[in-house]
Amino acid sequence: MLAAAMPALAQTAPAAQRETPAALPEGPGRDVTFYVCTPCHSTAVIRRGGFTRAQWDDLMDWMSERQNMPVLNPELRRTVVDYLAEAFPPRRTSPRGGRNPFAD
Amino acid sequence: MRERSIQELYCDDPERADAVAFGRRGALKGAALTTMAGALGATIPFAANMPAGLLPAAFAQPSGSGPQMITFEGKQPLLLLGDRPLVAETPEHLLDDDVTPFEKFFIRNNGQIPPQIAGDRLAWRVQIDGEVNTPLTLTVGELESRFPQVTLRLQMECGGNGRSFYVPETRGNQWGNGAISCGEWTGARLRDVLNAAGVKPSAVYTGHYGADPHLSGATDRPSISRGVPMVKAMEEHGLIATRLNGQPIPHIHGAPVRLVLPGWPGSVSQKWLTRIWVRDRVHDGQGMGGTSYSVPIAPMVPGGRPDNANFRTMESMPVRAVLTSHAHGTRLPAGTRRLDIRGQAWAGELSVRAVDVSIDYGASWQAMEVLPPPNRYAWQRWRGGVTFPSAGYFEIWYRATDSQGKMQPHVAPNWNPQGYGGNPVSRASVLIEA
Repeated sequence: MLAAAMPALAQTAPAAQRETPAALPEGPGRDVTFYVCTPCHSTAVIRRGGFTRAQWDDLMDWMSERQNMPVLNPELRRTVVDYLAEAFPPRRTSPRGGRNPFAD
Repeated sequence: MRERSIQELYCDDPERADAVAFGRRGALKGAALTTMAGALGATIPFAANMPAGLLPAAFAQPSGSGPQMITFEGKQPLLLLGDRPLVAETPEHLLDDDVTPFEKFFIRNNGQIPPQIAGDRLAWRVQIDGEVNTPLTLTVGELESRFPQVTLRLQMECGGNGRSFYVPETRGNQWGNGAISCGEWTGARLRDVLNAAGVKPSAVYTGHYGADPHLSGATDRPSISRGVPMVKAMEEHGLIATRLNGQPIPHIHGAPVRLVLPGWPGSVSQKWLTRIWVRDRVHDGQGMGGTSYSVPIAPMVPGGRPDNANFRTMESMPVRAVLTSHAHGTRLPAGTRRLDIRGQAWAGELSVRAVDVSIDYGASWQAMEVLPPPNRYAWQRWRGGVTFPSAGYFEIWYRATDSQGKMQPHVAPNWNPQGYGGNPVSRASVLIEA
């Protein structure tokens, strides 16, 4: 079904490139994270993020509840969330340079 | 250790691997299995007809630290925010045309792009049902011939425009100000079509459906399905549109028919429209509820955990301006002191009553001229001149004020985990050569 739509994009791009886990930063759990996430969306959706571990963990629920991701068993979830929290922590600091005094 | 064992398991027994990894057999849909197969070099039996994520060569990694651009056929280079789903932003300096041409129209997909239309676009059908006296199924041909056709310039803005300005960062596409267009749309008024069906007093909200498949490949759920309260659906500028800038809507922008409900998040303007369900309650489709397209009622701590009960659906988009005459990073020749600048501004349900510009970091502001829109919900041209005191580095700050006197704030306001409502004053840097 999607193949019919591809010619429109293919006209601008002579060859398709498939992502590999190397698109993500190295670290324990990278490959599993890649395989869990990229069936639906590319690594761009991951790499744009920068979140606390709690936020990454909440996101797993959102993905399952709202976006049809299979529910991850606890060990797999821990592996994936640990990787994401390590590889993609918050990057934008407060404009005042200091920590939000009310942040957890 | 676990990674290796999962890979080996997928090579030997993918169904069992699914069960181990995800807690149930066959949990991964076809797309996942193909991705796995491609990565592992194995053949997985369930992967037929489900393409893996294709990444056209146009998405090559940028050299250095420049933004990644995409070359989509017929368009100027746009800022690539994501390739799957495909999302691309128009650089602000490309938004100068009063009527946005296709080549500068931003791209925003929630799911996969549906197949090109096979056969006659006029035969495509849209269903109107639910709390109506007479459910209707109308072809594009009937929409174009049975109802008065209206042509309006209408702002279309992604709900997440400005999200990149939030600190700390939020989920979602990291838009600057460029998720905006003002095309000339032609179609039947949604109101006229709903009146033809006869809206019952029990009608509360619409629910919209389109042909774009969910990213996961699941056929039992839409990629996006939002709606609007009936008062918005019946507002006379809302269109079931079939033409953009006088031509049949291009495929990437929702051919052959879509909703255009201006001034609200673009997600209510369903592309590849197949159905409008008139409901007796607030719609609860994909993208409704929780923190989706919603903002906090009582402001929450930035970066904190949301309480869903503290959120209300975002309706009108907030006021915003773009600078379209000069790109961020423009070099100006030595001796430049006076500069004519211009841009566009809009305010969702409201209009823009002022645009002010500062070249001294907000210490002083100069009023720009703001033209009225050609019709309600079009954006408005602003223009004026600034005078620089010397050569050197300057920032042009530009700030719109809406018709109720609300200005763009200094920073992205009212933090929320999905980054909606980020409309701070923006700035472009220029360098006047000595």
